[in-house]
Amino acid sequence: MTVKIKHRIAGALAFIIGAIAMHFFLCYAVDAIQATTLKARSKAQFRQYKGNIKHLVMGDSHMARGIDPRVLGDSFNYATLGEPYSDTYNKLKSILGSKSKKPEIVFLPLDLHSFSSMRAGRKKNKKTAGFEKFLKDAFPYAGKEEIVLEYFSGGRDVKSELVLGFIPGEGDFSALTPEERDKAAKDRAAGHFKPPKVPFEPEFAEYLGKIIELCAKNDIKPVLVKMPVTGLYIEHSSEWFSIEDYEKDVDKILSAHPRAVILDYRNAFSERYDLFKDSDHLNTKGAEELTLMIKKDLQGLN
Amino acid sequence: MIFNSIEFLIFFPIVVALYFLTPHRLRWMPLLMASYYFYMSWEPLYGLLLAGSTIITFLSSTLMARAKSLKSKRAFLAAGLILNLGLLAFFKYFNFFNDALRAASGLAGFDYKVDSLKILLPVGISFYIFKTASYVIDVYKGRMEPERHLGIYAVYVSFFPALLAGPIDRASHLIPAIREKHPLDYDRIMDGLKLMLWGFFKKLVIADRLAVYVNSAYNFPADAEGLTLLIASYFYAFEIYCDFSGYSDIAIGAAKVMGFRLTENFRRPYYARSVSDFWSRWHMSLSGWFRDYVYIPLGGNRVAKGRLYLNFMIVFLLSGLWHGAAWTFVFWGAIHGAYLVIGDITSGIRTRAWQGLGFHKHSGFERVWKAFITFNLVTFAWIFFRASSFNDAFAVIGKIFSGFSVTKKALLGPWSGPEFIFALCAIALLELVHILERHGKMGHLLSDKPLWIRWPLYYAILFGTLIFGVFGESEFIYFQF
Repeated sequence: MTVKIKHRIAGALAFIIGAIAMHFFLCYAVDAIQATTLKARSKAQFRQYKGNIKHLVMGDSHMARGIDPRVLGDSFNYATLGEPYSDTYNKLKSILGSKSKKPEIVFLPLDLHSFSSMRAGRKKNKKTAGFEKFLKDAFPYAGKEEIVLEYFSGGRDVKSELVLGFIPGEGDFSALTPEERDKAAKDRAAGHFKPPKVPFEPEFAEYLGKIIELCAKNDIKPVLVKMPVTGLYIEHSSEWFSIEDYEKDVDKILSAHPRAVILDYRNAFSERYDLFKDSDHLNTKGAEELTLMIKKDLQGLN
Repeated sequence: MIFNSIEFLIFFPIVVALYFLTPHRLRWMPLLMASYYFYMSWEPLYGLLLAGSTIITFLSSTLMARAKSLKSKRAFLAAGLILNLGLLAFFKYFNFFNDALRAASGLAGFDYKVDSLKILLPVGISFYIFKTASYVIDVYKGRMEPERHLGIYAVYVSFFPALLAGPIDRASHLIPAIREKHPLDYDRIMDGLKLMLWGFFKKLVIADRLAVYVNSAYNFPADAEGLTLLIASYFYAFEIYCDFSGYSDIAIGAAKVMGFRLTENFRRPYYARSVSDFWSRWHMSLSGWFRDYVYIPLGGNRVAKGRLYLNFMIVFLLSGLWHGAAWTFVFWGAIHGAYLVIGDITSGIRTRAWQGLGFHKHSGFERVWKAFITFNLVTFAWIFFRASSFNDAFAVIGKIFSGFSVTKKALLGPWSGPEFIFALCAIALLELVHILERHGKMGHLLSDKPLWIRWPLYYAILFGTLIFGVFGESEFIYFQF
């Protein structure tokens, strides 16, 4: 073997060793960055929580910001932003499977956008789906640009406070002008329901049914909460679909699950903009008021 | 099989190993088997079409060479071209022309009864049919002797790196390369792998990222904001460039690993100073094909002006049609033809105006200005290329040119602020590479730099592609042609 070939082999090996080192460094770095995300922090808080969990709040941002476990008592808010019913089901199944924490009541959202196809995620290209899975298994940092960019730009995930999983919502929707409020609600509704999105994705109805059945099997009471939203949001949502027809579809699903309790607060604060941080998310004050209402209604149920 | 797949990651090293382990005279065999396996992994029946095109053109060229009279030669040429191009016409254009005939018959009041067929468009057909057609014509013109070895000819047609989306290499260039002995060369292999890596970066980090923004605007243009559509149009110009040139880089790099030098397909096209200059830089293998087999036989530029302009329009209408069986593609081609015609007509006026304004003394400004204008003309034409229909295209144009409001939402589209800035940084990086490549290809520019410069760059591109790549989104745009 000539000296040149030996140098080449040594160089190639050194490059590969460097690449392997980079790989492990990136795995560690992305893990550390991911740990700062709301989802990871919520999971960590849940795991570390030693108290009694009589009430477990699950679902999406409406729940994560809207129900304060400190007010409810013996509670943990395990909702995460943008979580569809499919993820909630898998999460609850995993919690019950571990047998470490079994709540008596699980709170779930039943909102206008809960079945929207905006939650469905992008349709996977069949030809490249396998490649994508392989890459993400072999290289945990593959395709993680959103988390990395969010971290380095000091985005929402990094800055948000988390208390027993609850995300206190800062902001006062009433501080905006009427025109600004109207535009914000219009944009928000469009984001949820503008075509090609459809308001009712059957996949999510199926998962809601599965969650309720899972609760029944484990002797847990499922409480479906129609979370408060502003009247503006409802008005602009109705521009995209018939809310009446939507409610009929939801009733049809729930008629198969009479065990589920429904608490309807959708119009409870429709003009109380001071309780909202935006057109459809409560702020801390709003969460406190809603949670007190829920606590009172739960006592009535019991 | 596509490049961004696990199958290709396994397939490629095996093929390269087999290629170099096989004795030189038999290397065409593993290449041929690998190429057919590569193609038939999409759909086994495609292999029949590929073999069909190969055999038709091989036979017609062989018979042409043996023919004693010019009349016989022409007959074999015609047979070879008609049968070969007939495959393309049937699979790609039957429904298009059938629908056009139906529409025309409807307008004329006739009852047109021929139904559309459910035909699957074989991927890459436009590319290999043009390869084989160029071979037949070159043999007829005496530019090359017909290849006597069917296996080697079949490798030329089916050569897997370039099978699905080019470059459209000439037989006179690639067939001798197939016969050549390619030794195992470390530097060449590394250059090939680096080029493949850069191609993956362009495709996965830039093209597929920009596609998210472009698709959100162009899929429903009536609902999109004017500013979003304007930005999406510019982004599409970069998306299609990175997608297609990324593919070409991967193809050229893969071929280089095995010792083959494929035709360069892109040469900084958005730095072109005129539309005709653009076409000498964009998809060069295709524009070269149209130049040699359509434009020059029509008389090229050695004809009267009227005929010259007609030649421009014919070439670009055909080019548009080659890109897709839809009237928007034909119109896109017509726009480019019109650009050339108008450019030629106004050439004198523009030069005099330029000199009159004194700008001819500032060659740097002239270069930038002309490139800027050309880029915008090309981007405008891309609107028709990308839009799903004329209605959509005119909706896009209407919204862009009828005035729009500048809001954060309209600017960012479906992205967050950091995502938008990242996309701009990725485009800036691309253009930095282009600027540096004025002094030579990046691979060569880097090769004499010290290790502490080269290796961090390679790691940055490799891991940058993994972290920032948008995976699982799309195949290459030019596969649809």
